[in-house]
Amino acid sequence: MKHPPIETWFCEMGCSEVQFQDMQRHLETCTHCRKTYLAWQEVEEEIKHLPLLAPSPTFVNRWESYAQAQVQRSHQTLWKWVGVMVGLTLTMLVGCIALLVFFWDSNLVAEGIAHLIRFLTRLPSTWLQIRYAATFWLHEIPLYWLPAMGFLLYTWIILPLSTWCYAMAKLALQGAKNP
Amino acid sequence: MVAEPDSALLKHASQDVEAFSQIVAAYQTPVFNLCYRMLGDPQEAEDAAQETFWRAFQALHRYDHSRSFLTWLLSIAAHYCIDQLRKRRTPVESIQEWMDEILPGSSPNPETQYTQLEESQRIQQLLMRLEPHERAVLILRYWYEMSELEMAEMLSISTSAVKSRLHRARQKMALLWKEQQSRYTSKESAHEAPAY
Repeated sequence: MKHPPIETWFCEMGCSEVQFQDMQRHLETCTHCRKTYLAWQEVEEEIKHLPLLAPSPTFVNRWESYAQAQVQRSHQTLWKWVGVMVGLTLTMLVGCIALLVFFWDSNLVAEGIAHLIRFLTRLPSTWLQIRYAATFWLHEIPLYWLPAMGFLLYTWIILPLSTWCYAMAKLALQGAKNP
Repeated sequence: MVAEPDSALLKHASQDVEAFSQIVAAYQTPVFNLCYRMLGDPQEAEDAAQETFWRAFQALHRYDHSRSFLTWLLSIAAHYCIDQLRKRRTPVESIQEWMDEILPGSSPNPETQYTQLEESQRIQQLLMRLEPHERAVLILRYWYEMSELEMAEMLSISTSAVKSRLHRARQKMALLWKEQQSRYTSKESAHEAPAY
């Protein structure tokens, strides 16, 4: 037997005259649906008479003290983090000063500084080298390979990934639970 | 339902706990009712309502003024309760003691009060046998008279998902009600049977 569709379940959310008549006809012939319909009407009637329940009278006061405690706790956490960060910075600073003082006479500091300066001065030329290498290799690859490679990359990585993400989002929207 | 809070109060309330308390006082009943209907336990419901208001206080600067404030609050409460239900997965059975405390004593007739209590308990027992999401849509529809679109926005699901959940919830409630009625009838007839 054909039962009423979900969208117009006993015309609860409103339905057309035709749908209403269809439903009435169906209820006359289907015992199961008639019983369910009558049972639901009883439940609905019961629900309509139930009032909105209020919390205990001291609820607002208790919320206020709860919120104050939470604010205090978040302030404490913030100060704790500030303390930890300041402590770490001071420790690192003291450690660096101690290392500098300890190795001041040795060549280690001088070598370290020299390495740093060399790295910084070579940075532009290193960048030019990288750019040159990249341009060279890009020119080595035939032009028609680029869209082919792009297509391969897209089909093998991005397309399955995006399809999967889309399917998951769609399932979540439909109300599917996490496995 | 409760009137929308004005923007001046909302602005002030986002920085001050005491100012936010005015909002708590105005909206405590609908929020608590939703939590209670979802969780079935008064103490847990109060905790959930408290947490809902705290989360709302923290996120007040993100509240979109074009939406209804109550809908926004109920959305936080519903999500929180669904999370709590997922964590525990154990039904709560007895609410008798607390119901005696909280139900308004406006009715002078103790018999009527008792009947109301019994009805409320029966419906609550049926509600507790539904899945959290089904329960949420049913409560929002019948206690807060929300449309499918509002429910879909609140619960971050599609309207077709709301429809199917509502349908499942109604059907389950009707079947459980039938089952409960037949149990009561058989109990009563057993008591009335003459002892030979």
